Amino acid sequence: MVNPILLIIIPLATAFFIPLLAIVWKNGSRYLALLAALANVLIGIKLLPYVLEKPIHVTIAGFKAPIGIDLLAGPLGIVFSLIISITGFLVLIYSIGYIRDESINKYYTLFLLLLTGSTGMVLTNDIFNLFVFFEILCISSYILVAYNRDEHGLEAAIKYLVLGSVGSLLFLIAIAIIYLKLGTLNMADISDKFDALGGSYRMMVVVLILSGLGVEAAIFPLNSWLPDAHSSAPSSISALLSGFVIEVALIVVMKLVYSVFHAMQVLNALAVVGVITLLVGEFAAFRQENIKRVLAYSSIGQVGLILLALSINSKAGISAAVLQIINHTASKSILFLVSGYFILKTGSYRYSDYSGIAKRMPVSSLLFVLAALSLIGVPPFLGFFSKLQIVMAAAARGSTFYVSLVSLVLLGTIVEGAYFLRIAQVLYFGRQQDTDSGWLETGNAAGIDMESVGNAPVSAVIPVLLLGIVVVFGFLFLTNLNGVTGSIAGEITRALSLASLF
Amino acid sequence: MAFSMLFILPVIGIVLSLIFVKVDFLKNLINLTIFGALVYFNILLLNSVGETFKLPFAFLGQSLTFRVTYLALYFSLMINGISFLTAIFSWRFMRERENSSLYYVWWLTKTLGMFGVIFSGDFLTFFLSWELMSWGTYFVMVQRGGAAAKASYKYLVYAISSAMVLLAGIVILYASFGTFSFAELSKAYSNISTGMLILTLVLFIGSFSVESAVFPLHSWLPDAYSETFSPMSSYLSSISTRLGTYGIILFLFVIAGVSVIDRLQIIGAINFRYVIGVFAVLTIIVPTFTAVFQDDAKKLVMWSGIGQGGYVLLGIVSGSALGIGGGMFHMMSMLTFESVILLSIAAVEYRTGTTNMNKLGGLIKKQPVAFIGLLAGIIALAGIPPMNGFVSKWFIYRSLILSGYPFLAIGAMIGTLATILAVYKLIHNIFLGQLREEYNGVKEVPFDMQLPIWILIIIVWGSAVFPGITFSLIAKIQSSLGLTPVPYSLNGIATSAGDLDMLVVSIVFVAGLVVAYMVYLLGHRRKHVIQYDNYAAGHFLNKDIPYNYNAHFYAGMEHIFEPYRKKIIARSEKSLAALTGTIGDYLRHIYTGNVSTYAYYIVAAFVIGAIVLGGVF
Repeated sequence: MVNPILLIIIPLATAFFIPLLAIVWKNGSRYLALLAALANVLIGIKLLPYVLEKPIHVTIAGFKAPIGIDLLAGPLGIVFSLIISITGFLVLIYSIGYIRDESINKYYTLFLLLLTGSTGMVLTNDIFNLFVFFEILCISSYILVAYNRDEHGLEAAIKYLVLGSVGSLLFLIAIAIIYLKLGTLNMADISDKFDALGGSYRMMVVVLILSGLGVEAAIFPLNSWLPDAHSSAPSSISALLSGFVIEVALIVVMKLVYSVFHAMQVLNALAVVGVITLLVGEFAAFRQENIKRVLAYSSIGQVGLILLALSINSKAGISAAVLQIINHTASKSILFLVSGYFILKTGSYRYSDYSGIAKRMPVSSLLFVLAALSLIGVPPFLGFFSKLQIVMAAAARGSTFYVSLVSLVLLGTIVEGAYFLRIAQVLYFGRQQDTDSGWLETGNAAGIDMESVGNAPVSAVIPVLLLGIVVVFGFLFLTNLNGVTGSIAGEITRALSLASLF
Repeated sequence: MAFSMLFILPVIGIVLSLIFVKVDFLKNLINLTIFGALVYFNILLLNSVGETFKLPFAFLGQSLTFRVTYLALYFSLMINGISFLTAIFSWRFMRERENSSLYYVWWLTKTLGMFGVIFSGDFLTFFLSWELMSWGTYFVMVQRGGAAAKASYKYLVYAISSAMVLLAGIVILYASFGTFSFAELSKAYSNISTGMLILTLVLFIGSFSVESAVFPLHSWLPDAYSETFSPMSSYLSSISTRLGTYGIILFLFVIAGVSVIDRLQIIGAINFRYVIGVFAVLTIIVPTFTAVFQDDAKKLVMWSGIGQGGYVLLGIVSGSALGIGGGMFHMMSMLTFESVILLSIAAVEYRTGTTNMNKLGGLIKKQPVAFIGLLAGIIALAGIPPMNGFVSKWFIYRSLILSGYPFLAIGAMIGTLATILAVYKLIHNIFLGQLREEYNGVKEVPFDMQLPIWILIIIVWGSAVFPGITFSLIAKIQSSLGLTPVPYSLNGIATSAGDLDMLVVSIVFVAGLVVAYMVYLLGHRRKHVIQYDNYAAGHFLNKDIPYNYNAHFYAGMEHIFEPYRKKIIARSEKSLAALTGTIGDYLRHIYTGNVSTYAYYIVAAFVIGAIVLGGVF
């Protein structure tokens, strides 16, 4: 059996090796990074069957928990490492053609650090170690947002940096309180001792962690950095940020709430916050004209939906939420990656300028539409099943409270359908304006010459196609997927305890 | 076997159409064969009523079930019959049309969804099929692009909203009763609480009202159906809308049951069915009066078609054997007359290239078959003997008066007035009056396009002379739903409340024609004129300035009605879209762009969180 710690060590070590390699082989970093991500994918696949039976507990440097730092590779850890490394791998393929400037070595170093940070967050069993990985993730993503070095990117990155730091600070205070009162940083140990803590301390810790990690998890109203950051970053980075970074933060928060702090009493409030997040995201996206801002707001909406599903406090709900995360990762990555080339080819961020682009970029446009349909929740795409499972899990609770939340989710879906299909129609049938005289001829205001728009390169199409397979044919493996997500749900809802690790 | 073929054949068709996407001849041949085979297997299926089927795999722990009922068979016969005829017509019509390479793919997708809807035995299967059907409809309509894209987008927003309302209803039922199965839900409804009954009634009927274009949720239909390819317009208008009606029938008679719904007495004799009846009457009146003022032939038919859907609904909610029978019969009437009218218009479009009535006229001698088709269709649509629309409307009026709904009957009759005005405009502006010079060379369409029109004319007439053939199936549906069956005979109905013998009516009608023709022959003061030598009405006419009545056909009536045509629905749609945008704008302004505000948000979230959650720890 492979040691799960390799999942963290490989990208971390490669990240530091890249600048050295650059001295001898300038473009080698592309392929080295690809290799590292591929290695992570393979290790993840190899470990998956083992962890589904029993989580793997790794003690580092011989110090046994609760003294030393340890990793807990359960279904959650390995499945999310897989999500991270597979998305990372595909986006790295995309980057071969997409990132073409002088400083590619920095890009790949930071990219791998981003993978390291997120993988570490889902694997670690030590809350301070979690903070460290969280900071690695945050710092690398701050810089990557500004990678284009334009005005928008820098502004967005600074906002992201300031808000992220506030969040980290709150998180750190929570850790300090825990260490002060319980004298331990091991999550399993905290879980054992946490219920004995006084009510106000427990409240403080939970609220601090929710509002600290919630910044990265894009929970409303802590997500104000997101529309700027996700829309100003290079599209490959947007795909990562929307694709798994916010989800990783969200699932880690919820894992802490469920299995470490046992704070089921906050779930109803979180469900409401989730629905508010969803509605804010979907409604705000409705009016946007910048395609990446539409996608960014749509991510807020999806995070809201996932948060609602995670707050249902039933295995069915959490399992559906993980399925929705898988769907969102695949779909939103497709959307960002495809729109990256729309922007590159037309030079415009306004989707109304892409009128009739489907004739020029047929594969990309088709996948854009399929991914959008999956996000809306149209059968037979994966998103339909995840959304239906969420709705059914909420309804199965049987209370009016959840049924009304579900109605609001369905309202959000209508808005979501309206704006995504509007974009899809522009891609295929040209610009449409709602005038009294009816149909307005196609064309674009910016005077972009559509004749000159060519296909996206193969390196951009392949990852999008592979992600498309997940979205379109995912339902064929629904039973298997539900098996995996079910065991993650089991892991999250089970209280951690030190005794169970050994 | 026959049952699974209904689902396997469309899938085969979709795959083959995708493979031979560039080979027109093969694609047409394959799809015509498939639609023909579907009719054949559908007829075979008549022997297996009551059988149930299950998909081999479960989904979310629920098995997807299907069952064959008389109601489903009635619908599938209508779907397959009209598909086959439309496919014959499409062969030549769709040749070398732009943007039509996936025509059959979307059509079969929609067909598949429709089969799923009508044969489903539980709400999960129903919903999956419903989505498939709606998206099929969307793609069928949107593929033409241009104005069709805009119109379909409107349909799509309506359809998504309708599907979400439906899903909410299904989820609420599942949360309360823990089942999706129609059979079990129907048991649960016998002792359902009043609040739950009202909630689910509003959700389900409201959702199905979108697809069946019930006032005020009908506004998407005319543009969406008429902007697509003409054979598809005909197909959609004749059957697609009725699937919404299927949903209403399913909910009213299969799931809830009339006796349960009638427990909801609002005031005196006014119950929930009466309320739907009022909406049905509004569906008849408002769109039919809108139809009168249309200048596009297809749009005119679409608007009056919405009104005809109102008659169907009115018959069904009347609750009596006669009314339900009449409503069901009117679906079949609508299927045939809408289709024959629109195929005739499509035949005109095929030769002239337009459906704008202001640019047509005098085509009667150039396209006689299309003229006869349209004539037969509008006679039926207006409910005049001896066509099938008369039979169904007779049943509906009779049942309304007998069950004590005189106001609804009067409302329905007001609609008939406008219908006659609308269809007269239709036939006049296309076929009568002066021939335009540019259409001098127009010829009748080839035989393969005439064939479906002829068949439909025969059905429109034949099913009126022998309504018993259709009623034999309708009576079985009624018995299977636990309703009193219609007391029918082969050529009419004989009850204590009055009888109708269509054979006699037809003989009288034919005798009347013969008498009229004899009068025509006996009279001597007649003169044959060329098509330009008419409609002078005191004006001096020549070939360059033909007197054309077509534009502003009902100018006087238009003048009277203009102040009342407020386009309230179109305006409210716009306002709703604007409202969504405005809400979005306001919400977006939460994100001010100012980083210090954002930092306050985090602090505020923490403080509020601490206050709110302080109580629960």
